[in-house]
Amino acid sequence: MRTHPWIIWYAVLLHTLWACLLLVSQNPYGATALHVYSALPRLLMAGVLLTASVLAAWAITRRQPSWQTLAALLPQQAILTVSAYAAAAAVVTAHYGDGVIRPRPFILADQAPVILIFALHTAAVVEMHARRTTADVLQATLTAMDTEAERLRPPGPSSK
Amino acid sequence: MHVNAVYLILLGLGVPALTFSGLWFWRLRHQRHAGGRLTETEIAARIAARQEELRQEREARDEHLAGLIAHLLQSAVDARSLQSAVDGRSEPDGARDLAERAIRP
Repeated sequence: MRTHPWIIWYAVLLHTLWACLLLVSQNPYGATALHVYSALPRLLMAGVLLTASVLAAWAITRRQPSWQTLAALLPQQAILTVSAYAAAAAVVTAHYGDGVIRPRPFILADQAPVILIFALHTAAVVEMHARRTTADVLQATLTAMDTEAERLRPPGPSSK
Repeated sequence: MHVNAVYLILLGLGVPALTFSGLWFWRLRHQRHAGGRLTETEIAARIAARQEELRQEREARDEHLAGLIAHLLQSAVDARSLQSAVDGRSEPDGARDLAERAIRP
């Protein structure tokens, strides 16, 4: 893909790190963004995170966006959505996922990156797949060229 | 913090589904707006055909211009000969003959 979706690479690295930490211990489940998944076995969650990361990395290394690349980015978006929801819920209820009570502005300042990455990731996915592909641009250029050529064409014998 | 699992599933599936369907309708609308869609092979073929047409037009224009330039050069040479003949006072009859020959079609 031509754009540089750094936010997606950021999510890939973040989820890979989370997966590695979950492979090592149960403690990362205490983090608010991960606590929401604590009902799942940590090895399964690590596998899900790694799979989403690999799919997203595959998608953003393709030359052209397609329905396949869009589908490959959606698992990552789903994980980010749930994490952002957990962060927002922590702000609203004024306590972290592990039960620690803090003022709402404190939690908001702390959890804002999780919410922002969800918004920016969604915007990046939409931007990558909503814009016109090379084939679209070529076709539009060709149409414009034909129109202009017809306009400039001198009147031939048939027009007499 | 207890979060309802139903909300989580709805969110986790709903947002990606919305993204996918939104882009789906966006692309459909864009394609309908753009008219019939050509394959890349058809686009390449049409570009090649258009390029050949433009090349032929340019060649024809160049030949036409070359003919015009040759005609102008010849006119300039004739005019110079005529002028020389008119200016040649020493041989008035010969110059007059030359001028008449030049003017005569």
